[in-house]
Amino acid sequence: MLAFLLFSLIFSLIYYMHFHVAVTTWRRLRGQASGELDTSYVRLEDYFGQSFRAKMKSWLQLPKDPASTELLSMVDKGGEKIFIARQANYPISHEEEEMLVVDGDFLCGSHCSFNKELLVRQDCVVGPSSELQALAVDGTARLNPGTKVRRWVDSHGFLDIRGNCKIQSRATSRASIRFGPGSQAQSLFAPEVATQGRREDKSKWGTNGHRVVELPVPADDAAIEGFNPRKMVYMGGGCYRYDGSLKLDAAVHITKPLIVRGDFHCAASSFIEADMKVSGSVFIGDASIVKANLVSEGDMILSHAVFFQGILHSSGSMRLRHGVRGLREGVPVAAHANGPLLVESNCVINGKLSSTKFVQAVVTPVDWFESENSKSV
Amino acid sequence: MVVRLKTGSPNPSGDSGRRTRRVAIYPHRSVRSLPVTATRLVVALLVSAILCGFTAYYAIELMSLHGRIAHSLMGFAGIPVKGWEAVSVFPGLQPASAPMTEIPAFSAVTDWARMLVIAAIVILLLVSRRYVLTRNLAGFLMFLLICSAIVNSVNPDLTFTSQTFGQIWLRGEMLVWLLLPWVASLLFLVPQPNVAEGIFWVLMVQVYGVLFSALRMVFCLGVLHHTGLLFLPLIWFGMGTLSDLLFLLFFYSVSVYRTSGRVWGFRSTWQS
Amino acid sequence: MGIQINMAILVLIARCCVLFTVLVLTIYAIRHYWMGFSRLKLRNPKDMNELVGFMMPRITVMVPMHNEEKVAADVLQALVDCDYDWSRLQIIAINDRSTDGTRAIVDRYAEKYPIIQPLHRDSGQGGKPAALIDATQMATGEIILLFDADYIPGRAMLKMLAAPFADIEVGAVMGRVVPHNVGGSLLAGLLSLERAAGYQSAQQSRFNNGFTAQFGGTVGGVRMSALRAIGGWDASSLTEDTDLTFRLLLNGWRVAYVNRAECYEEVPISWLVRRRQLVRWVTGHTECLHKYWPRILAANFLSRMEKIDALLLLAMYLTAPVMVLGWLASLVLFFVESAHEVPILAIAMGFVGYQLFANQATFMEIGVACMLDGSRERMLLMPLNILNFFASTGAICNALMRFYWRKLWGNDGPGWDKTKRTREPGAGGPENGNGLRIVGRTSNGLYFSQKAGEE
Repeated sequence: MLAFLLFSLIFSLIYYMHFHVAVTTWRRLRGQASGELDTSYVRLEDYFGQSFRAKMKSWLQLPKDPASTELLSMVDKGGEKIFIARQANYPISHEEEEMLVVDGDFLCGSHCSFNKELLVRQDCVVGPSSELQALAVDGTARLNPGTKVRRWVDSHGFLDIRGNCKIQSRATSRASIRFGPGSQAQSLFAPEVATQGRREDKSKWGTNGHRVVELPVPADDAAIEGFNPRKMVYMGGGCYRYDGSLKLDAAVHITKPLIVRGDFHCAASSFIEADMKVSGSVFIGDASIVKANLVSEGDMILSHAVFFQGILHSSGSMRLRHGVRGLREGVPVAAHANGPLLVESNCVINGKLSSTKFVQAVVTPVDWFESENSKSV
Repeated sequence: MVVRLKTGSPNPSGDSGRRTRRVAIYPHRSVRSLPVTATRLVVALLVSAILCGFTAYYAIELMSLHGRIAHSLMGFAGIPVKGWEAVSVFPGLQPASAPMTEIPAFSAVTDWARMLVIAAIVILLLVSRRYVLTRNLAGFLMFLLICSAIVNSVNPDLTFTSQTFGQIWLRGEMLVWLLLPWVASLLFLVPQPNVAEGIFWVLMVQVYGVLFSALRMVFCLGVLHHTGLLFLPLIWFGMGTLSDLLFLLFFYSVSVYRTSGRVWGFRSTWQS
Repeated sequence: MGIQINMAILVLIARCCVLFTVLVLTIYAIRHYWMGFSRLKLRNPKDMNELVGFMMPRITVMVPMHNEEKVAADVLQALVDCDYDWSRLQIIAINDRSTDGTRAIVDRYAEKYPIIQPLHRDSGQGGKPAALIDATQMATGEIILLFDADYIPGRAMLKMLAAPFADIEVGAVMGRVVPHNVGGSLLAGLLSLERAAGYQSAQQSRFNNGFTAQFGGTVGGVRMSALRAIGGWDASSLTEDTDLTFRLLLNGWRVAYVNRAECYEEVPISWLVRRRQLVRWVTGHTECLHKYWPRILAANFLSRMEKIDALLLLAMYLTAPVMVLGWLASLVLFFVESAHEVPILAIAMGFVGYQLFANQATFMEIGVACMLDGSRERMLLMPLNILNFFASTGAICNALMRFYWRKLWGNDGPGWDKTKRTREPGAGGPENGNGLRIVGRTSNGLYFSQKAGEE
């Protein structure tokens, strides 16, 4: 009996050990409150640039190295050095390991490498095929072709991203961004984001006398090819649902909020006046106007010279063709795709372009044709 | 954003030859994920299949090992073993051995054993009053004790042999040992960044399962030997697969603790 | 002979019960494992975080309060401090028949901030849904956002909750609730694990896989036009949030889940309070199941998987009595010796399997959530979660028994039961992860915060 009692004691101890870690953890955590959320978080598109500048401001308060001169000083922020230069003009293939603050203009040649953050108080020109960690510029910034930025770029002035650059995070500007052909970024945000070959031609919008089909409630009883009225369901609250694909050869005028459970294609000169959600792919014909929000679960293509005023969101890829404009009063527009977001030439967006994958400015045959044309002229 | 778990590649773009700082910027937890690749799933499947196959193929040897461990523990615990009887666990399988020890019927049980039931009920009552969270579990255990007391009182000559107990125990545990590799792979191997560590956890859980089972079985037999059938429902419920779930949970919690720390960093308490 | 036949019948019934239990729990186990793994490897969660700040509809924030003097000031101040454009923001602070200092606090804030409108209810039907009905008549926003009084929304919360409404199919949104008082009791700590699993794992994976998320009645919002279309709030429902979710779904709208919109809440620290909360949820959920299952099955615009998911969601509390049934049946099988003579491999496999495989499934979801959150310390509490598991199972079974008893005899159900607040007044908002506490705003809209202790 005694032996069994002893055994039971040992057994109980072993059994308790399965709870022991939990019990001691609880004793340690008791009385504490959760601190896992940042309740002061606010989403700012240029957060990285702002945050970096704020931190740099406090770091520069630290005492300078005794060996510092007027032209070049150094601050040691504990394990990291910050070099402060009055101006910077680096030759080709220069490599910099430390953080750099340039009080004046910054210029570097090709194939340079700046492995830590760079803050330029005035204007900045980065040589072709250079690599940067991150860049904050208080003046204008120009990234020459082939520049790679591992993280973000933020400029208070005009940001010129030339061809085939790659920015792996956000590119933001308080003025405007020019996005060169072949360049990529994860997102671009500025009062104006434009690709190359910008030309204005307002005359393209309008129905040009074509038949316009009004949906979800057609204005007349005439048959509409590609539309089955029996599939249109009124959900209530002014919202309609179409149970199927809607591929129309005629221009369409969407007057009420509409959910399409299928694909949606509309012809040129369409007018989408109310919010739309499409569970399939979306094709908006040339010179159409999208006044409201357009969300698709499939791919989205806005054809030539489409004008949009709201939010575009695609769970697939998105393509903004030549001449697309995005503009809205008061609040910037936004276009986001979970897949690649491709932007052709002559696109101007007042707001944001972003993608979970990448945003890329693409070159099309139209660009070649137009550039050939302009040469001959 | 997906966290990159390749330890040798600090540059998220994958380019070599350029050193940059601050690449380990952990994404917000709302967008985090872990790479559960097809390769990882295949490895997990293979490990499970091999371990399960091994367990099935060497089932008799495993049960025999289990029996030998139990025999030693029974000796240590002072539980007299009259011998080992062959019992059929599953049809088609060779019989395994179950220990033969006396389990008295209710009519032959000593008074102190009957008092022990009352004491157990009182203890469960006190625990449930003190710790409100245990109320339902304690209540259910009390229910089992009371039912057992009633059944035994109504039928004082009810018997249940240790061989039968051993048979049912082995049946249940054998199934656990066969299922454990699959569950363990899902829990420990698939989300674990380090495959070798994941395999280690799976193997450890399997080995521990066998050892812990032997320990529990001996405890149960000891209780039955000394107190008869009064505690049978309670120990079957508490020491059976519930205990398997318990040890699996324990190991799982430790595994997640380690994985999470390695992948997302070691932060202060309630921020973690 | 008679006894033998009775025994045989008993064994047969017990086996059927075990089989049924195994079947039901296996379905739920597969669902939990799928949700857990689906979330774990989710590389591109469906969210509209990139659109935060670009979708700025007119919103009305409603905060129903009944005797909330301990927490009222915190929530109103937090809402005022949000970075939403005040010209498009309306806050309705609903003082619902309070007998403490709530009225004075509401009036004080309404006087100080023009965007806050008080609504004092001194009579009428009690309960949150009735209060919301009255407040909705005053609402001018296109979107209604709801916060319970004990919540502390972060500055970006309103914008984050508004963003998904760019999708016209979204009828409601739900954010993530994060327990703040996790160290208040062991129960609170364990509930924080449960919440993590419910939101980080379950809600996100279901939403990402095309199923509707569940609207929780707080830290969420609803589109006004959709609300009107489905007939407004249902004052008779105990869980107006679940009710709303399914009414929206059956009318073609979805509920979007915003994992990034995280908000502190207070969870019950005592089991008594938790039990009352569970009773309400179980009763409300099961009421919805009875109300909506025929319509869910008949809805031709929902896919088969959507219907299955919806039904599984509504029936989830029924797994508790099913599990208890399985335990009892397996005990019977264990003690009836004749059951052992016949090979019962399939049933035995299931019996053992569901215990291990199925019960572990819910814990596995918790593990996934903790892994993604980085909640390593909290995860070590898991073995103690067995206690919570049993406690909840008992409470749920109890609640269901009473629900069906009332359904049979037509008695009144449980009333609206408010969760007791534990936070002290004047404590201000909790500190954020960097030890900073919200203190004020500058005139140009920039926000300054200071470290706690630097008063």
